[in-house]
Amino acid sequence: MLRRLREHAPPYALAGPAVLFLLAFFAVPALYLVQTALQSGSFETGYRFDWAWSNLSDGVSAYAPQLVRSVAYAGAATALGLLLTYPLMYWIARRGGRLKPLLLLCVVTPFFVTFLMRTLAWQTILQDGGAIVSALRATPLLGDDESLLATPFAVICGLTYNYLPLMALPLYATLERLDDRMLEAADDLYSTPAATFFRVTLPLSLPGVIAGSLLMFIPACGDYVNAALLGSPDTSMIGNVIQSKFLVVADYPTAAALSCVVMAVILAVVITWVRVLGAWRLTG
Amino acid sequence: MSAVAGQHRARRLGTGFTGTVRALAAALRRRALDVFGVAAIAYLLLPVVVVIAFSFNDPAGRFNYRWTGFTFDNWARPFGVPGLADSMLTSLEIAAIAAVAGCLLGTPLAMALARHRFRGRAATEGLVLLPMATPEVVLGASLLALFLNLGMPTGFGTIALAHTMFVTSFVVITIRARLVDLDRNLEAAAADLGAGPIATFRLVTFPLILPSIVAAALLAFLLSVDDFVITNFNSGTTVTFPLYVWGSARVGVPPQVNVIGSMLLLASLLVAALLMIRRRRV
Amino acid sequence: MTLEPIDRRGLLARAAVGLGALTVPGALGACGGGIDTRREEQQAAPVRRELAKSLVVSTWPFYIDIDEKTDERPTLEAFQERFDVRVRWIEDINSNDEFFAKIRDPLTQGQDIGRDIIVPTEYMAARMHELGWLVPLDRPSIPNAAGLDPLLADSAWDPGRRYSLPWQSFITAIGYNRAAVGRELSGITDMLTDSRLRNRITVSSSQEDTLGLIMLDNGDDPAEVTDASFDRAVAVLERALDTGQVRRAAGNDYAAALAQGDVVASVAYSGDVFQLALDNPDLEFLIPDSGAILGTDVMCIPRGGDVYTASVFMNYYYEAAVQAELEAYLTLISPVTGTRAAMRRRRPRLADNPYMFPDEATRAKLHGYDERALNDQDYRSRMQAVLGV
Repeated sequence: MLRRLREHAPPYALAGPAVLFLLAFFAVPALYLVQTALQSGSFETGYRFDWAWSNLSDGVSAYAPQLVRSVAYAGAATALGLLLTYPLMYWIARRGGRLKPLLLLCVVTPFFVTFLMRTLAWQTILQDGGAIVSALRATPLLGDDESLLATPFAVICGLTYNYLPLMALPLYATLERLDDRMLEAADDLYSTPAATFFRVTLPLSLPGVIAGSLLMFIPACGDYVNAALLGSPDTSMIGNVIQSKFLVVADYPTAAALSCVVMAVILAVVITWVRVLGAWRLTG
Repeated sequence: MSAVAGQHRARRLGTGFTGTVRALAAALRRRALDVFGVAAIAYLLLPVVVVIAFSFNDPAGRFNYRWTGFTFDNWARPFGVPGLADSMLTSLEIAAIAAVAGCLLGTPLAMALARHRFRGRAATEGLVLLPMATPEVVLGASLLALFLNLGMPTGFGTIALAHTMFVTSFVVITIRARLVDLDRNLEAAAADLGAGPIATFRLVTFPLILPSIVAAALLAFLLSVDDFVITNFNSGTTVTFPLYVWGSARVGVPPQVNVIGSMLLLASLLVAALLMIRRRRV
Repeated sequence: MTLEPIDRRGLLARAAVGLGALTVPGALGACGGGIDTRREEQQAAPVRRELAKSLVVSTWPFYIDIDEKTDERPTLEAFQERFDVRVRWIEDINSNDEFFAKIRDPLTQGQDIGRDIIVPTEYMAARMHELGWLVPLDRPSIPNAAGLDPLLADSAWDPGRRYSLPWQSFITAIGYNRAAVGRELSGITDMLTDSRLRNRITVSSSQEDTLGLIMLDNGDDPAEVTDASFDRAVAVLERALDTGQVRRAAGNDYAAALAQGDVVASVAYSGDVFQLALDNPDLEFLIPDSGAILGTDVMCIPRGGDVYTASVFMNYYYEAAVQAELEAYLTLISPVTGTRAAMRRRRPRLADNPYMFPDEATRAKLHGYDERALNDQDYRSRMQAVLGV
């Protein structure tokens, strides 16, 4: 019996510490979050657990605009990110040649600058007196008294840039593994470049597209730094509300309830997205 | 292009006038992609250049917002601003702890997931992947909820715990990817030569996955230094570098912060470049 | 990364686990109960009159004199030399609420926060006092407190100033670029309703600054906030936000936008505008006829701080000569009455600055904001809601 124990023990012994740690500091906190969401009270009077489901419904009705905005901005950022990264990673994977490592390094470089500093850099770039705004004001695209900062555009711009590397790497992985012979075969069958792309390349790279867009959408949905530094009161996202409720107003039950709602919303969007693309398997 | 490919191309595009037009169109498409690629790279590097450039700025007042003049002063005294050095030190300490702890926890788990079948393996995989699929706001909030309900004061310790938690997932997938790629025959050969499981690990597996562990540790270190949201929720009075930047963004970010950011960037680039070179040589 | 295809059986199994997990919060609730924020009763401990080796101060950035060439802080250096106490000057207060959130966990657990002096704004100190986080000052060791300006000597939450002493005061009113605006503004309502200024103004995200000024313009008294006066003020602000009149609600970063011209008018603090005007003479500080808000940041001692050393520190900074040196750099309103005379010897021109040493007429126009309103969760939530969160 001891020998059987020793045979079966290794995986449990190896995995044990990490699993316990993750349970203790990820799973249990998640449960506490739900528990806090069902508390009521205030900082002065203390909080009690009393199955306050109203926190959830009140939270959703009071902050529905922020929830919708978060999904919309994150969705827009993901779409923009896809449009930007797909051609770029395709170019690097298939035309990069010897420059591939250098180009990849360029793609990953923004990641090495602190998140906050990247966002502050956009604050500088999009400022009223800066080159971009001045150039746009010279065209009919932007009026003379309009600005880019403190608009949804700036927030989406920041979100796109900040989370782009997360989309780029999975896309690159799939595009690099694309079998050249498939493309040659399509060519041989007199396929036009457009048809080759839509009927061969894109479907084959779909796993990367799905993985990348999920990796980008999910954190963008909960972000609040971009909205805080580049936005205005009209562009506040659900992350700003959660941060305010936790750290400013100390209304823990509402804050926790909203966090649970965010998770539910993200789950719903993710399931729908994966379903829409018709694929249940993500291979990495 | 080889002769066969050339023939393919000729057959595809046709010869004569239509062929030339089609060839031109193909060349234009290629050019367009090249142009797009370069433009996209420029877009990616623009804010990086801004961050580095403004570290040389000589701001008139407290605000490092507009370019007023070039100076090396900031690089000469990068820690002239009070609190910046302390926050950077704190960040580095926490990152070191998180990287080491993350690797100590994550490597065995990666091995278990890559090499063994056991009950609850799917659930374990899910547990490892879930933190990566959760927005940082929710991770930070749930940890705060835990600490509040347990009465644990937030500070250096809680930040270290939080960081270790979320880097472990990254460590696990990095090392597991390498383990899966590893040739099992090497380990089988060691077993054939009479090595027990521990010896096999020590002499065969570990040296082979060591580069991955190092890469995972560096990734964990970087993620920890960069983390803002989770830290913001669980920091108490401790100040890390991102928290310092957030605070100073309200009043005016001094150029020395850009200097430190640039230093961090250059160090990371150096390490990444070294890893890439090393990988190509092996 | 692999996600197995989910079939119906797997789905049911997962649903069962999920529902099971929902019972756990109940169980956790039964044993945990909730988040404990009760305060402990403050025991008055006898003060040991011995100087400690070091003193730790938490304060706002740019709140002490600095010699720009050497990065040293003259008044602080002098204190360290005279008393042989090492001072750690930590500038980690960027917002009252965020600072409160940072220190509330250790303090509610009864632990100390590693600080001897903290310098929150008046209303936040009131809140902390109510939660029992502050300890009394050693008044006998602060004889210079007799020089405290009568306007600040008694406060609603701390009569007799036993738990706090003002560090600096400042006037909150309107800062604007006279040339860019093209005319003289009359007050905050003017700023919020002139459509020519659309999208070029900011307000403060702080209730006392923005709503306080609007209340004064409405004819209400900000020191006694009622539901009605609060509603009236919020209505004006909401209208301005809805029409896009206000670009954003800013913290201390309004000054950058004002300096560069992105913003032409803002709720502003006297010290900032004075500094900015040195570089840009078009910038003016306006104290409306209806009045302005007087804000005060106070020094207090959190639980666990060294009372005697902190009190000696406060006493040092209440010397008129030290205040003059401090003021020459900060250009704010000193809480000590002898400062003007000391300043006359040092920098005579500053001694006549109406924003640093306001005359009787101006002082009559300065009002404080009701602390109870600032600490009321309902009012705070409503202010946050107006700001979009």
